[in-house]
This record gives sequence, C-alpha cells and structure tokens, in this order.
Amino acid sequence: MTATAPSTIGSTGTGSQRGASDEAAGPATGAGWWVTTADHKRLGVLFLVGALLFLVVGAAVGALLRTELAREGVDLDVQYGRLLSLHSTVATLLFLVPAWIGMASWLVPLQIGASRVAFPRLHALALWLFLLGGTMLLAAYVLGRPFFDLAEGLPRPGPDQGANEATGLAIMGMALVAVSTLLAAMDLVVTVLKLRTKGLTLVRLPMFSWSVLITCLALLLATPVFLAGLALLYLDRHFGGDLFVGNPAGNAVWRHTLWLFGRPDAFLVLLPGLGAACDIVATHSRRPLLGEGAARQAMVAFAVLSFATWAAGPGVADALVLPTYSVPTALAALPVAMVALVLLGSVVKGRPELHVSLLFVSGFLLLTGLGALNAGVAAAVGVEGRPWATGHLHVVGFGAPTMLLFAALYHWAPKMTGRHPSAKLAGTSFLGLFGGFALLGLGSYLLGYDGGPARLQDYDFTAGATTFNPLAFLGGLLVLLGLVTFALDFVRIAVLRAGEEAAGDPYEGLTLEWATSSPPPPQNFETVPEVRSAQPLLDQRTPVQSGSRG
Amino acid sequence: MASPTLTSPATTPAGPAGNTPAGAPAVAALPPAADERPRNLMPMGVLLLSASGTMFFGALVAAYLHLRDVTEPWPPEGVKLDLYLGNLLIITMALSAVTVEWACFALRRGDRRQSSAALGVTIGLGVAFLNLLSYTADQVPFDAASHPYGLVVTALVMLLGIAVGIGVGFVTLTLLRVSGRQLSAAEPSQLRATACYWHFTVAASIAVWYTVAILK
Repeated sequence: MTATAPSTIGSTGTGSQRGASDEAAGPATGAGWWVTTADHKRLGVLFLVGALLFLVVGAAVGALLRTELAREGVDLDVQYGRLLSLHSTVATLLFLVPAWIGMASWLVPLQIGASRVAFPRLHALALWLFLLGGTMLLAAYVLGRPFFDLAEGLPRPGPDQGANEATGLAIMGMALVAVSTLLAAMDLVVTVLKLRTKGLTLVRLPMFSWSVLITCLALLLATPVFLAGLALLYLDRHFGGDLFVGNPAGNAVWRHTLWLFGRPDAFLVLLPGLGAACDIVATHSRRPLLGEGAARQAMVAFAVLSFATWAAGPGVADALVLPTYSVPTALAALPVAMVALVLLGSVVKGRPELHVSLLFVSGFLLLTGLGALNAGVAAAVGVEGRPWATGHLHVVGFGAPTMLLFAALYHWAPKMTGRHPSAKLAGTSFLGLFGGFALLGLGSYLLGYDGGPARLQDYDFTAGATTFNPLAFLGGLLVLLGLVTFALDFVRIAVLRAGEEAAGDPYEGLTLEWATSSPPPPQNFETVPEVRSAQPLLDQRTPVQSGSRG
Repeated sequence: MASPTLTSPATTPAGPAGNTPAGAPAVAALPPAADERPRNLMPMGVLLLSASGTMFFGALVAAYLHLRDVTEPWPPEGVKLDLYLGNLLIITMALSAVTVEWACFALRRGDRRQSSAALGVTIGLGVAFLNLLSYTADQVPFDAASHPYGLVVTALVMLLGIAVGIGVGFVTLTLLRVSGRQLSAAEPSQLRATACYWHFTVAASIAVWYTVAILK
C-alpha cells in the first residue's frame, strides 16, 4: 500500500473524487481555501495551529517572567503582574482545550469511519470564534491589565477599574472562547453518537474518540457556568456596579462559577491525552489494549470526579494531586493511575516498537510520577507558598497533558501530513519539552522546599533563589527549544513536503483511521472496512481470530 | 472476509453509514455516492446545547440564591414585583409550548399549512413575551448597579430575553423552511430541533419566574 499524497496537510482532491460531504468544505484551491473551509481536517489543523501559536506567546511571556527571577537586577516592575496574568490566562484557556479540540476535529471522524463532522459550518464558526476571542484576549493585555484573571480568581479593586477597557475586552474574549468550546464540543459529541460507521458500537470506539466523547460531555456541562460568571461580571461593570470588587458575596459567586468550570477543566485537559496514549500504546505494542474496558470506565470516573474537585479549596494546585483538602480530589488521581497501569501492562504484554510518540507517553508518566512524588514529600514536610504550587502546576497540570498532546501529534503526523517526521528533530523536541518541564518543575519545587516567598516577584535572591530560579529559567528555555524544534519539523514535512513519504498504514494500526491513505482524501475513505471489534484492522490481518475481540 | 488491502480504487465508495465489502466490483461510470445524512442530528445538537443552557441558567439562579442568603435586605426596600405581569409572561410562554408541539404534530401528519400556522402563532407569542418582558423590566423600581439584587435580576431577565429572542429567530427560520417545502413529514428534524430549543426557553422562563417571583 502506498501513500497517495495530496499536496498539503489538509486535503485536496480532484472534482470527481470529492464526495457530497465536501460541498461544505469550500473551494479546493485559491486564496480563501483555508478561510472558507468547513472540512474537519482543515479545521482541526487550524485549531491546532492557533492553539500552538497561543502556546508560543504564553511560553515566551513565561520565559520573560523567569528572567526577572533568574537574575538580580532585572526588574519588570508593575508589568510583572500583567505578564503573569497573561501567561496564566493563555495557558489555562487558549492552549490545551483548543488544541485537543483541534486534534479531535481532525481525527475523530477518521476513527469512526465518517466522512465529516455533524455540523461542518458550525465547527468552522467555532474555530473563528476561538481565534477571534483569543486575539481579543491578547489585545486586552496590550491595553492594560484586566482586573481579574483565571489564576488568581478574585477580581481585584484597582485605581482604574471603572474605566479599564482591558477588562471589558478580556471578558468578551473569554466569552467567545467559551462559546467556541461549547459549539465544538457539541458537534464532536453528535459526530461520535450519530456518524459512527456500521458495527462501531460505543464500546468499540477507539480510545481517543471515547475520551473525546467523555471530555466534550463534561465541557458541555462545565463551560456554561463560567459563561454565567462572565455575564454577571460584564453586567456589573457595564452598569457601574461594585458586586465583584471588594464584596465578599460577589467574590464567592465569581469564585464558584470559576471553580465549577476551571477545576474540571484542569482535569479534562488530561482526558483526551489519556485516550490518545491508549491508542498510541496499543498501536505500537501491536496488540489490543490490556484492560481496555477498565480504561474506558476509568475515564468516565475521571470525568465525573473532576466535577467533585470544585470543592477542593482555594489553591488550584491543591485541586490537582495530593496533598489535597478533599477526598473526591484525591479519588480523581485513581483513574489516572488505572490508565497508567493499563498502558504499562500493554507495553509489557505486547511487542512494542520504539516510536517517538512512545517517548512522549513515557515522558507523561515520568512527569506524573515526579508530581506524585513531590506531592507525597510536600504532604510529609508541609510546604506552603507559591513556588511549590507553581512547580506542581507546570509539572502535573500543564507539562503532563502537553506531553500527551505532542505524543498524539507525532503519532498521527504521518496520517496528517503524508510524511514521517524527522527522528532527530522529534527526539530533540522530546528532550526539550520533557527536560524543560522537569527542570521548570524541579527548580520551583526545590525553591518551595527552601521556603520561597508567597509571591514570586518578592525574592530577595537568597542562596536558594539564586540556585533554583536559574534552574527553572533553563527549563523554560528548553520548553521553548522543544516548541521551536517541533515547529521546524512540522513545517518541513507539512509545508515543504520534505521527509520520507508515509504509507496509509505505516504502523500496522488497529483502528479505522489507518484504513485510508495518508493524508486522507477529502471524503476520508474510499471504502470503510467492516467493523466487528474494537480493532477492525487487526481483524482484517488475522481473520481466524476475528470476532473474538471487543 | 475482507481483503487485507485496505484501500482500493477499484471498489465502490461508501459513506459513513454504509459498509461496502472490500473487493466489491466498482461501477466506474458513476460518481461517488452521496453521504446518507443520518437523521436527528440537529435535534440531538440542540438537546446538548439545551443541557448547556440549563447549566447556564442554573448557575445564575444559584448566584441569585447565594446572594439572597448573604445580603440584607433582600429584595431591597421599596422593591415590590408585579406578580400580575410575571404570571402573564409565564402563561404566554406556556401557551407557546403547546403551539410549537402543534406545529410538530401537524407536520408529522403532512399538514404543512397547519404547521406553518402553528409556528406563526408561536412566533407571535414569543414576540409578545419579549414585548412584555421589556415593559416589565422598564417598570421595576431598581437598577443593576444599586444592589446585588438589581444586578442578578437584570442578568436573569436580559439573558432570558436573549434566549427567547434566539428562539424566535429559530422558529422564524423553520417557518420559512416549512412554507418553502424544505421540511416535511419525512424530514422533520429541524422542526423537532426548534421545538426542543423552544421547550428549553419555556423551562428557563419558568425557572426564572419561580426564582424571582415565588422564592423571591
């Protein structure tokens, strides 16, 4: 089987090949190709590119913040708070969730044997709302510092709060991003429930599609609460009220609307990654996942328990992994441990072939282990203060799911682009991202154990700070290096069309996306293989055992 | 059993709902088959968004109840809501829930004229609701900035108005499609979706009315 490689990462095709599903996909060529498209593959790519660009902005701002902490004499002064707020808002809202939505938009129809998403034009609307909202959010920080953010939570009174244009713009930007999330999540749920090919029952869904279904259902319930909080905040400012500035009752309302969205969200960014990791490990281990049913149930439990973390306490880090204030939050770690065991068991029982995506999955496991270890140490020695929490957020809350996102990108890169990524560049990207997050976390953890101050910008450059802050700074630079290397690799294979051509099924995959050419044609499939288990392509290769699985 | 070759240009294309066995003879002269569009996509989508809408209004009602518990006095002195107008609003919306179902029933029986009439009445009731809601909001003796009560009630009323306004637009679009013979007994899914959304707005209206007028 050879790759029939259309010329770009999206998809092209001759007129006679374009199916009815692509009527909504816009013109196949021309300047407006990417702008007017409603093809799920192009929309997915645009979601991913947008999210990764926002990540670069957030990472660059983070590195800038670290320069103040790494070297005495560098003083960002009042801009420090503004940049920190930008950094945390971008990381929370504009990267992981939209990136997973992009990955899901691209991959889910292929995994379920569909030729499109349920509502292509609505999906396109979601994309443009995300890009517009994200841009408005960044523009807000150019104008000034909004008087609230997602990390600190509580709106702060300020001298210019009455006329702060940045706040209004930030609220509108966040609202657009939230609406975009809702529309895309709804579309993905309907796609999975209604457009599955014949024989692909819910329990036979590929793990990534299963995790997307669960994640999107949870997002559909959590995101509107955040929107309601934003609506109240906007109206309060618009009418000149003071409910959210210095009023404990208003602060409680804001805090809970933020938590009921943000707490599940902090967990849900991991869920599609767990699904992707299951598919990656099963594919490269060349066997069905060990304990697949348990993994599916663990993901459902994880999503349900993520809502319980709403009541975890005031600190975001407290809501992630132990030590924690609440039993439900501690319980939320168990399903992740269950999926980790499933992954390890599948590798042990299978015949794994080393692939860079497996490196990223192991990077996720190591970062999660580092976080769990430090949580245990912190519980034993009693650590307080911002540095430890910062480290924990970067390792567990952000670094671990980011490793899984890049695992997914590298795993499905041949399918997306029709080319294999460079092993050297991919390896460098892994080392940069994994080493970067590990050092970033380690520096902050150690600073926390050293008794770092509550506010990062209040360092007096004690011996500990001068040792550990540069470590974290180096970690930030490594993360940037990993991102740049990744970008170079993908520009090389997707834009310049360099690198080895990929076959339709380069890994001897198990699920339906590998049953079409790389990259897929506009209508995705010429023929959809018969589905009689969760591994339809394995059934085709080993007909004797077919029907005995799934 | 299917052939190990996964893709083959010499086989008949199939949409997502159809599984043509690999290796089946191709009909070269025919273009690819059109996708068979599964039914009830739109009703399911609207149902999911209605669940989100329920969470949205649920959060606002929860904010109202929390603020009521921690704020004295509640409602502010001098505020007395007119129950007559509130009840009229709810009766209007409750009636529109019946008319939108009437439209669905008529279309199922293939009676397009009656379905259009029912949708027209639904639009009329929706517009009447919005008009009365606007009038009621003008009459209340408080503003959003004066007290937490003012803010949260204004938010509930405004956002409910927006939700019903979107519903009126949705029903109007459906009416045009029914009148233009684009929806029929065989293809009623947009009308079913419209009815789902309209019932959500009715439920939201009742929730807001119960919170503000009954629970106070």
